[in-house]
Amino acid sequence: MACEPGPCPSDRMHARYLYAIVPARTASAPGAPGLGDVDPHVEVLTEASLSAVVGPVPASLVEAASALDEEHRPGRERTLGAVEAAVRDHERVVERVLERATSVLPIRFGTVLPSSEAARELLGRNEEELGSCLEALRGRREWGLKLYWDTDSAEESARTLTSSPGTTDPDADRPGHRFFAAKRAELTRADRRQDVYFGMASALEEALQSVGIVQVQMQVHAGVGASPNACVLDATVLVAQDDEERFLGAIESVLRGRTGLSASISGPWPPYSFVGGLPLAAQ
Amino acid sequence: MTSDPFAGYPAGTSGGSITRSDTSNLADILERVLDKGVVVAGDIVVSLVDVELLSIRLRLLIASVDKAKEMGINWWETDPWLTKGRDGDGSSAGELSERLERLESTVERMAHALEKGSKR
Repeated sequence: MACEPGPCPSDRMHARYLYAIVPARTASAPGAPGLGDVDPHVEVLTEASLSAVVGPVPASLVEAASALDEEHRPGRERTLGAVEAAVRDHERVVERVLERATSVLPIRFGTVLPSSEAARELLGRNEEELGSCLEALRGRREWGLKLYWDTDSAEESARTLTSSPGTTDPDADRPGHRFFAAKRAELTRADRRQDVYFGMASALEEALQSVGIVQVQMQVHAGVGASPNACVLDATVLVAQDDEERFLGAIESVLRGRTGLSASISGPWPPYSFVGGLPLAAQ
Repeated sequence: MTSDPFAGYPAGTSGGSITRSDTSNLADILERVLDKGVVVAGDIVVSLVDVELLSIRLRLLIASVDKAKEMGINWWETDPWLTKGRDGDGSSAGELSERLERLESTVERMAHALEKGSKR
């Protein structure tokens, strides 16, 4: 599937890049900066109960599209640089909206509408659905959580799991048998390590649920173990600002008693991961 | 100014029980803005960039070639877009290495998706 050519320059003047959708007349707190100073080029279009944060098509996006054009092929580094600039520009605007709005629906990168009128029509056509989603996200922020486990410590935890008592193997001295016995032992260690990782993930889920945090997306990297300090769990969590201290406490409770386990927290992010797969009908 | 209960924790990803990183990491940004967020479907959308294709190509471009090959992905070896303009300049090695650490798991997920013939 090839990239389609972009709009001609005259059409691009009317086109609007869509960053986010927020409740109309939104404000995070009295006296807080409004959406008007998110970016000099960004404007807010309002239709009924919703507002769209839009701007002219970013120059960085045009350059990224050009760099990806088959006919130009400027080279890998320039392409990466152009795309990086475009995605960082997008994220910078959406994060500033997050700081200023009570609720934010971040739009996927690269969404360009033909005009301001089209943006308003989009809001009007999807007002109910968008309004419900915004209400569900009110006062909440996304956090990234990665858990890293020192391999030796994880192995030690795995060894403490139940294991069958040693038995005498009559074939132990046969060369071929020794090879397969070693392989079987390695697989057993991998299985036990996997059990430990999934046990840790369950503990995290329970700890979060115990403080009312239920919107969690989690991926366990059970096959790792080759590097000294591997990332064994990757999670994104939607947390109400009032619950963020409890979120921290839940993480600490999982780390407690697990030697060599550490956590890296990133954020706060706009709630990209929790918009519920919301495709908007544009026509 | 929004609060940050984790502000007192050190930056980085290792060396302490809990560390804190901000939202500047490119891999974390890519994972969100390319794959997630609200999607506007339909002819109303002006297509400047094929985001779906960009998402796949970008991850394979900056991930480990060896790791992708290990998973059976090597179509870029015959893709003219990716073979032309490639440079062996070591100045990009450090940057790519850092991205590699962040994106290996994402590449693995996408490999499974490609193998199953499913795309978002």
